[in-house]
Amino acid sequence: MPRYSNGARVELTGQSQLLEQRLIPSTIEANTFPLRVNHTTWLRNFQKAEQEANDLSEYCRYLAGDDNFRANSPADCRKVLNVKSSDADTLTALFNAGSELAGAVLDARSAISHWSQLRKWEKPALLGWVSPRWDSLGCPHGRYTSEAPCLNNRVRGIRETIEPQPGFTFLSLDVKQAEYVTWASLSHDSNLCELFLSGKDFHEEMAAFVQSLVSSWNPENLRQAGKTLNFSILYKMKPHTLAAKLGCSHRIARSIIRAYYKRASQGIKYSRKLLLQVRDQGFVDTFFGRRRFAFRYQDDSGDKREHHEIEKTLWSHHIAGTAAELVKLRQADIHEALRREGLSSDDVRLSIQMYDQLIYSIKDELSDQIQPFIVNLWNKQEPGFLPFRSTIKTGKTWGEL
Amino acid sequence: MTDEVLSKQMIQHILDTVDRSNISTWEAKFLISIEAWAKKGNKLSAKQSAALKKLYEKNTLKDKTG
Repeated sequence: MPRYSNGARVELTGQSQLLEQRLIPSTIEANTFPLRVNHTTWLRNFQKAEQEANDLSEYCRYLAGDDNFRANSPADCRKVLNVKSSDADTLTALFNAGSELAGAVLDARSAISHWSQLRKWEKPALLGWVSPRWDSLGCPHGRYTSEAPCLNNRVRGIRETIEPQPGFTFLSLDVKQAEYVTWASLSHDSNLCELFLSGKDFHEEMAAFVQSLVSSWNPENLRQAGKTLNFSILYKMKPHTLAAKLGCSHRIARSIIRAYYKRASQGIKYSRKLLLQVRDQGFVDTFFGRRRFAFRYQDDSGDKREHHEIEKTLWSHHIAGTAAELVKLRQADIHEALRREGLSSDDVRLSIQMYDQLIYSIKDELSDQIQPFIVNLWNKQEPGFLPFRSTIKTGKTWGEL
Repeated sequence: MTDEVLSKQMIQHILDTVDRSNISTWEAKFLISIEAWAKKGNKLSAKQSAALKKLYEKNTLKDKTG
């Protein structure tokens, strides 16, 4: 039974056991072949990031009217912006309320983080290769993790430095909105299902629907607002957090949530029902049976906020965990089919497994035959689930994908 | 939302998805009649759509662990 550093207890039951066994060969391959790192690209991106971080820090100092102001210092930000906390949510709320400095600090922090990640990437860039250790059991809800170095959430500047071996091309298969499609499929919410089947933009449609019911809400960028809204509802954010993220009042945020619930009533009912069941049983399962125990959730006496956080984690285990399993299932199918066709890891192999994205290295001369073969298997619909839409790209660096 | 007519894709998705081992006899009969009706290229009425939608929403996906 895998145990995690955060104390989570997970057990593989039902089909999840078999699925994990089927993943072993492709995981071993991903761990065997290192990825190339282009030093020239790294140097160019590093210098550019350094320049951008310096420029934005300088702009913050100008807006703050203080030559010693540091955008990445919480103490400096609290003092100049006159706030108790300088986390991203507080700064976003301030920016939405008209503070240019808060917006500049957010941009500067992002640029500094980008620069800092690239600075730490110097060693792989000098070596010219990197060999992360991929682990399909690395985190409780079942998404792959990578270590030494971790490749998750890497900035574009780093992704651009990663290349396949000479004579190979990357093929990327990336599921769009996997968690929302999973939610609609599992809950049988016919409104959400209709929306996905029609091929309309989910984020824009949901935001437009909510806007039609909440006339006092007029976001500048409807799609962006829809993205924030969908994420907030799926992952059970409270009205005050949603208000800060959307830059609206608490009253409007509550109306927005009510309007959303009208459109996705079955989806919401499903999540409530699932959590009630988890409370009774003391565990939550993914669709394929990856079980996470939740004894603390059964205890009502604790802190309300902590209880809500546990609830979010359990719900995420069910939805994000199922979405991860569907990607893993495709990964196993593709690997087995390729090897059955007599293609070895010298012809095609999995190189990167990143959330809902698989990246294969394919030998250039075999690319025309292998690509359609893989894409065909990838697009196979899982019985009971809505069809997933994907972005399929090829490129000579990870950054292009 | 209840007087909306389901799209062809949605009807097909429901017919493909509903776990028929987990519904009553009359629900199974209803599904067969809808299947035949849709096969002929006919559109569903609002009433038929609402009934089909209700059946689908009640019959959520069961996990594969048994």
